[in-house]
Amino acid sequence: MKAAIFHSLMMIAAALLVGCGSMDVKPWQRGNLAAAEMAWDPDPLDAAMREHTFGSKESAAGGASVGGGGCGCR
Amino acid sequence: MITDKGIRIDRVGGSSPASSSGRAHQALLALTAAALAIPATNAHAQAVGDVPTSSGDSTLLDYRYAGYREGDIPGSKTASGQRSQRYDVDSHQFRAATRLGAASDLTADITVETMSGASPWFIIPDAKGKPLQVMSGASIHDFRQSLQLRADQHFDDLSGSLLAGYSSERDYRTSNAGLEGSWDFNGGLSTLSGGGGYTRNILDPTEGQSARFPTRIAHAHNDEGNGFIGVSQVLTQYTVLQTSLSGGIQHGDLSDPYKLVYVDGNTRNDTRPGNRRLLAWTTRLRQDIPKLHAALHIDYRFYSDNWGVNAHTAELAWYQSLPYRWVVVPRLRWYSQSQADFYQPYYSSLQSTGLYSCDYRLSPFGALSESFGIYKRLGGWSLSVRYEHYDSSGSFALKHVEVENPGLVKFQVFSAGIAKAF
Repeated sequence: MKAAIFHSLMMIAAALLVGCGSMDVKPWQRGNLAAAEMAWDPDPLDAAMREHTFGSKESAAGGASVGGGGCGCR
Repeated sequence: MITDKGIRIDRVGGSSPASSSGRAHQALLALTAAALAIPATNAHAQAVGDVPTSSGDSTLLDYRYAGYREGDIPGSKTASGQRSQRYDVDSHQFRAATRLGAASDLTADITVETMSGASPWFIIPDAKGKPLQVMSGASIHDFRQSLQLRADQHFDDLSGSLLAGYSSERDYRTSNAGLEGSWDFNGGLSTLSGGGGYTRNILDPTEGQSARFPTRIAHAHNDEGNGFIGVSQVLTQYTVLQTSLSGGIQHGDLSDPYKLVYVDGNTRNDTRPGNRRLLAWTTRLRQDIPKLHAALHIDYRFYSDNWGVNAHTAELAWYQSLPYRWVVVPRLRWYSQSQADFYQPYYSSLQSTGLYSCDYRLSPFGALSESFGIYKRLGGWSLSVRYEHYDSSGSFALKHVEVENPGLVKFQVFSAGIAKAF
């Protein structure tokens, strides 16, 4: 678990350093990033149901969100 | 700009950040986009994030049906020697999202599910020590209804969200609340996000302490606190990365009241530790490939908890745009976990720890799933269908699994959705 914390914090730090460094993507260059298919979860309802399903059949859980409560399936 | 939930950019060709009212409007348009395309953004269904669109819609209605069907467990794995049916779930999800004022929006998600079938009860050894599954019998019939609310407020480079929800089943109730926030900086190329939440679960197991199940508990509860911190970063004009660390602490009765374990010829209640600390590191990459009119999604999560479970999840998805506003999405997911320290398929003697569980979800295994989705925009409507097949097995695990749990599951999901923005 300590290794996971270490790796996570290193990854976050690296992303911040990269972001604050040489990257300079101008607003008018970000059109591709706005494509719907580039979203983290392009279909939110479907993504929520998939996470719910996997969470009821596996031990692992967690992500970049607070989450939405539990159910008896776990 | 980027938020933790997605890509927020100035309108293409623009040069200045969106105003707060513009943000709110665009956030709502993301809700619209969430229905009308293969929409925009977000980590958990609470859509916020901006996708340029020419429409000025202010309300989104979205509906999705999902049919979940577990495969039968073969007679070679059951104590009875008979093939046994397992679990089916039919889910209906409804979403309504609307703009409130200049910089706020509100999202309501309602889920209604019916569940029926049989589930693994306990495991016994045969004469050679091979574990055989005893099923509960096709006795489970339940109904779940859930309401989740989310309110978002935007202030220039800051955003805040308030979440609350309630879910109810015949034998289980859960309430949750949480706060999330994000800060855009570095010229809109970076977003720092975080949040925390609390969940309370109350269990009233069916036939608890009855003449039929005298050792089954009649009432229990547990609590969970969780939080996350993460950063999203535009790497190039075609690439964006998000990495986050999330953790949780569960406390209370975390055992499964319906499961038993076999201990040296007798059965006992499933008994797990009264607390669980879990941690997950999640990293997601989105790569646009303009020449192919496609986008590649790569997700990875490492999970670890103090019950001894370590798990890896990796997922690849390919969003291929086609003429006439069709999009097809093949997807491949791999999962592997180690077992909980106290797990065994069956026990040959009493344990000094007093902990027992033969739950396949705490066993060592791996899983592969394949999915294929089709999306179509038709005027202001969005239509979608998706199929997924999931198979779990010891052979898919990262490390060798000596004794596979006979209750490992296979399932298929068919889902279809329709959405309309106004």
